[in-house]
Amino acid sequence: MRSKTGGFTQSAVFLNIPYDQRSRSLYLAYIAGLVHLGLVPRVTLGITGGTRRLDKILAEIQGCRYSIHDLSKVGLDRTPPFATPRFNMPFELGLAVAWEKSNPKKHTWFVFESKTYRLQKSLSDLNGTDPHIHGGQVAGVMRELSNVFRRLGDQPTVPEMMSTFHTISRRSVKILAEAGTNNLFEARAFKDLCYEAKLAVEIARR
Amino acid sequence: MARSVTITTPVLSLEEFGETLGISKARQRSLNPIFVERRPQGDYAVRRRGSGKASYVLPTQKEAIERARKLEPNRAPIVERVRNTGGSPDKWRKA
Repeated sequence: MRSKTGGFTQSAVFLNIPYDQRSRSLYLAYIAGLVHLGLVPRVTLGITGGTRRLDKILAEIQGCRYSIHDLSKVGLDRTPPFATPRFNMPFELGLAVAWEKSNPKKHTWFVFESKTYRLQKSLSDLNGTDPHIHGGQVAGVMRELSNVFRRLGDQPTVPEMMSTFHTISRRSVKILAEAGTNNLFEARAFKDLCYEAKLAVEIARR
Repeated sequence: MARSVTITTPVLSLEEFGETLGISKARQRSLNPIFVERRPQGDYAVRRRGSGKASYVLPTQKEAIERARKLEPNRAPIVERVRNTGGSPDKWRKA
């Protein structure tokens, strides 16, 4: 059975996570963990700006069976010209919540956080839904991904998922060199990282 | 309460996964070089990194390297070192 039907992919996970160098390890952890669980991560990195951006983000969410919203980096962004909170991630979570409400069989969203109880203050509308707390640690992300996605039969262990994380961390140097960039948060690098993670999983299973 | 789901969809093969990501076949080949390695039977397997099944099995390393070069003319195959050089196995070289 193919899981891809039209624009909707049954095993796709929309990743709503921070794209900054300080979150590099968590970014790689999500990729490695999801691929190891047999899922296909998707991000907004390939989406360009402009008036159609919102439509494209919504289409991405609608094309994914699941979405993960990591709200661990919702603090004040002091980048000039204004110090502001970053609203994109909670906004995209809102889109996913609305999409799931109207299509409960087509979408399920999950919230990840690094600190216990913080979400109750930062987004009290979600009270009643506990976030998955990863503690800002790679192993924490793997543990929580394993708690979220239970695969019948062949559930990978956290050490196995960590091994895939270490492999793509090493390979990321070559991927960046080949892409002629030092930024992992680009569409090409993202796809290559996902593919490398899948290769690592296949090799480990041999 | 924290949410969780049970996944029942089958795991995609490497090729299907690459296709779903929108990675061209050429790029997939580039990310997944060809290996030549000695099998316990003493012959040589030619295969891609993530593939469990050998594309070819040939009696000598030389023939296996030639076949690997034909499969991927623009990228050197990665070959398992089979000579005992200081007692450290699992060494590879580009051919």
